[in-house]
Amino acid sequence: MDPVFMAEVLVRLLPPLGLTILLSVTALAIATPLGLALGAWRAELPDRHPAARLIDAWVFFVRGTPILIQIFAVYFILPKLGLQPPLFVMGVGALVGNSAGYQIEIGRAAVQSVPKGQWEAALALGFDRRASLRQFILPQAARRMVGPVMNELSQLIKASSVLSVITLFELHKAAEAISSANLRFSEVIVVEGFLYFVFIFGISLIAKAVERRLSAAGGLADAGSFAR
Amino acid sequence: MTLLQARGLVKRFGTFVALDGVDLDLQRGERLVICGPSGSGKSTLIRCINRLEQPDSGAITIEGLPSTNLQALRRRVGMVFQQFNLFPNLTARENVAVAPRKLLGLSRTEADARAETLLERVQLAGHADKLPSGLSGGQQQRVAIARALAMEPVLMLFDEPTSALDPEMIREVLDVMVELGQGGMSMIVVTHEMGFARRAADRIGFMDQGRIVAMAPPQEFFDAPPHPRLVRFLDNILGH
Ligand SMILES: Nc1ncnc2c1ncn2[C@@H]1O[C@H](COP(=O)(O)OP(=O)(O)OP(=O)(O)O)[C@@H](O)[C@H]1O
Ligand SMILES: [Mg+2]
Repeated sequence: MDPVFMAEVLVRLLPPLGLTILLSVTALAIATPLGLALGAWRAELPDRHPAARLIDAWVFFVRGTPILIQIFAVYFILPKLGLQPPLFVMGVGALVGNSAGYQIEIGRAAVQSVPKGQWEAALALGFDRRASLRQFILPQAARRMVGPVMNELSQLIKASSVLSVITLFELHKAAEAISSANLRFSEVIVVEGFLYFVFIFGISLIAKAVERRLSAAGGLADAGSFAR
Repeated sequence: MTLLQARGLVKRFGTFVALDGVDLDLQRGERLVICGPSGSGKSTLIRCINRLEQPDSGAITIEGLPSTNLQALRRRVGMVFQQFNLFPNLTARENVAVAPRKLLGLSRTEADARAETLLERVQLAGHADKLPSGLSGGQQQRVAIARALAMEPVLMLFDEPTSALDPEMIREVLDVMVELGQGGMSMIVVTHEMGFARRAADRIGFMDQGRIVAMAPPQEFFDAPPHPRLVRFLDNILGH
């Protein structure tokens, strides 16, 4: 291991790390609200509803295929449909498709895990289903989503490394390029791994702080029903 | 004056007939207790009244009006559950205040004041800021009663409100219910607390296999049970 070389690699990997962060954070910002909202909606739909079938098919595909296949699907199929978005958009799109698929399940499971008695209490008071969901069920479900969503955040960041296959010059692609140009693999791998770790660790610290604030403030419940 | 009139209520779950043609009349201010063996359809009956279950056939009118609007119906009919079903993330005050605030358009101050008054009425002044998890079962059930009362219902339904409680807490809940009845509230109470029935009911109904097979004022109900299966049922639960 050559510390000087490693320091040099570290510096050269910072811009691609920036792209990895940008890809991941953009994808997160879209996939989390989209996935959770679709999941909560799905929990309320009958299984036979066309939208339910579509959502289920999406989740089934995402869970049943490797992310590599999903990324290639976006990369090769979109152009066949006459769409040629920039690489960055394709990358974000693939990550969103993948992560939202998992987060749909998180949202759905969280809503369905709220006891039936909570629905009945709200309905018996005279709230309609929509208002019951928004006022009482979602705030309770939201608490149950926090843990699994945090886990999904780190999954998504790791998944972004696979975007190297569509020549997006993100962290992993850049690291590959450096190691094959210099034929020095172990140092580069160590630096690359360290950068992923720092990023994921940083995100998880932020997520923990958010979680703490939510529970200290009496929970998401109040954000949902009493804050406004 | 008739408050509630139910005619020919039938409810099936698959092929199982849970309600087999139930007729029921309740006068304004009347306190009706319903008892009967497990599975006889007691819960199903009161859940049909506020349409948490949709009857397969039959008609229900409240104050002479059929219930075309579900939400409007439920706002006039309070319900208390065996498992309390308080909102665990809201304090006692918020549990009581939330419906009048969101559904009746009361301001926060008005709704909170109403909640305080009701919590006092169920002997829980001073517990308003506690979450349900910080309250005993008996206290939680009294919050649930206050929550239902906050909508100023014309009828209160209770589904075994004390069955999930430790014996020493049953009394405090029943006392609140007795007082409510004395205050003129119309109520239908599913319970096996025969002491309460004797003390507080105007009439007691006995259900068996989806029908109300006997209905009588307490004295007659206990002293001259009008149905053979009721005799056996009373022997069982009164431990004779
Ligand atoms: N959602 C449901 N699906 C299927 N069967 C049901 C459902 N709800 C009730 N039943 C059945 O209908 C019958 C009557 O149920 P109900 O809950 O009204 O009885 P109950 O008199 O309240 O009994 P318990 O004293 O045990 O509460 C029971 O046999 C029950 O298994
Ligand atoms: Mg029951």
